Amino acid sequence: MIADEQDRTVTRLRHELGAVGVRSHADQVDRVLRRVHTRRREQRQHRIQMATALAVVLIAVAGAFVVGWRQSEQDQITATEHVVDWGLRGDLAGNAEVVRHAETVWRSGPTPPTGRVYPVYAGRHIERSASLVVVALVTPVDRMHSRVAFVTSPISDNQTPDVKSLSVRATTVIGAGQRAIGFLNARTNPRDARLRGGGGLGFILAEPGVTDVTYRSSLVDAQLVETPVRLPDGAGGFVTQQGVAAWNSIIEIPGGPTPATANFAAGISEASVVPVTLAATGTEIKVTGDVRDGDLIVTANGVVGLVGVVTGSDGTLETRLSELRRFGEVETAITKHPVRLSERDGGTYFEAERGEIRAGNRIVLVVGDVTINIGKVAEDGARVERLVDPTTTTVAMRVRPS
Amino acid sequence: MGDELDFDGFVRERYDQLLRYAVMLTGRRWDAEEILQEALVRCLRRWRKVPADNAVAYARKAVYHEFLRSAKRKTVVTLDEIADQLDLEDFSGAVVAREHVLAVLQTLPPRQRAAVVARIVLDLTEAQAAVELGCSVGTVKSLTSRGLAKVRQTWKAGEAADAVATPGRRGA
Repeated sequence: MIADEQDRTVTRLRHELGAVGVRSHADQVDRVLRRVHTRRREQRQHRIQMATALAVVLIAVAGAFVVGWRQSEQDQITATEHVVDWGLRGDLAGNAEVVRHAETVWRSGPTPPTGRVYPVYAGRHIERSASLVVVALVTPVDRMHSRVAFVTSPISDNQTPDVKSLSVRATTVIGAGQRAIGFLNARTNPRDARLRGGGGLGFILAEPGVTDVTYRSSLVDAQLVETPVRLPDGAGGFVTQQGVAAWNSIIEIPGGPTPATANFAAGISEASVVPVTLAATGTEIKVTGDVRDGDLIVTANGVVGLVGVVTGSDGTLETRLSELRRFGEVETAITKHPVRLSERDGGTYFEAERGEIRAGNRIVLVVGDVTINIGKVAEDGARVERLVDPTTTTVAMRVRPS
Repeated sequence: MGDELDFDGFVRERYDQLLRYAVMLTGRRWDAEEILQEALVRCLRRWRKVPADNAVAYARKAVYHEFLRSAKRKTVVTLDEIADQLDLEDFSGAVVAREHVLAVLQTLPPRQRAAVVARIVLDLTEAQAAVELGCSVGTVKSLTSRGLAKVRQTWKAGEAADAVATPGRRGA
């Protein structure tokens, strides 16, 4: 009897499991393969970095013993490995309807999440000049990466943001261990109230326990402008000067020997910005990430180069600054005089068609709304000094103008 | 087995087959995609040492171990939640969603589920299943037997609940 029942169970299981079909599109498999190869490369690089870090730590510890240096204990903040573990914060965290609506908005948009969505912030940012509702949502992509979406109301200039009118303002990809997330709109959206000065709006959510962060932009002057942001509940918004954007700015979180950094997400109607990694191999510099021929690679300080030949998920970096003319206008930052760059004798030289250009003046690349530092005029008044050294940069952003 | 080009070709050819196996184990497509991706990263790390005639079994074993790792991290999900979250392109028309075979499989502990899938779906012998699951033949027998008993019990309970909910069907 029991054997008969077992046979019937087996037969039914075989029949019903046989009816379950799973099909994937070819581009989905290609995407998976790209991620798998990227992860493998990251693992290799991580091993090298860990070995280097261990050596540095050993040297530092030995040095500390030698000089007998002691430092008083500082408040230590333990980084949560994944942003999804931060929990939900904000004055609207208890409003399940708002959070659910925000998730629905993301899922019905052009870049929907495919897995489970974790809300990490739902709140109102109320300021005299710019107020809005922000819901920050995270979905894991794999063990090392997550996608973040900032679903917000339009910006209100009368301190009454409409909680029922939500849309996706920015999305990005973040890595494990990131200690802050945020977006930076270079310009406002059509439904937003116009901000004074024509600038944009930024928002930062730091990991629990962090109440002070800094954001820096290289656009305003050759010296990076540092602006502290107070985050009473770990979240805060700020209005920016014109031109300050995700591709020329960075979040810094104090708390260690060197501050932890995080990129901003750009607005969905702006240039696409995603993190990439760089690795010098012999005479070449490899770019790993979502890249294609002609993509611009930058840090918050300025241009690193252009992506040349792409094989699989890797690209080769073209670091000659003179090649940037393929991408956009090259000009002086303040006076907007066109400049022509050329390479000779291992250096980059400039020629200006008009205007007086002095040592220290910045040269920028302009592509539509995107403006990024290239370098500054050297003391000899003829060469251009880069602001970013491609051979020592390991983490950067890929910028693809809209 | 070979270089990364061979690996890409293998994945393109076998992706759906491996994904289906992962779906059987996890019951949810996005969980299956996640563990399959992790398993493929592990496979790629040792790809040169994988025998060509055993690559599928090797990849399946990687999926199984990744599934066990992920199962430790997951919280318990109710049968109704699982039925709501099934996200497959094709369902058996013979069963209602709550009694869908994948939902029923999710009620089994991970190792029992894997043993039932290995024996019933993959049609492996007890010895082959033991190698793939990394346990003895006796353990495979025990896990499969207990798993099938639990599936039978769940189906019976579902049928009894339906009979109570729709008494008119009794006379039909």
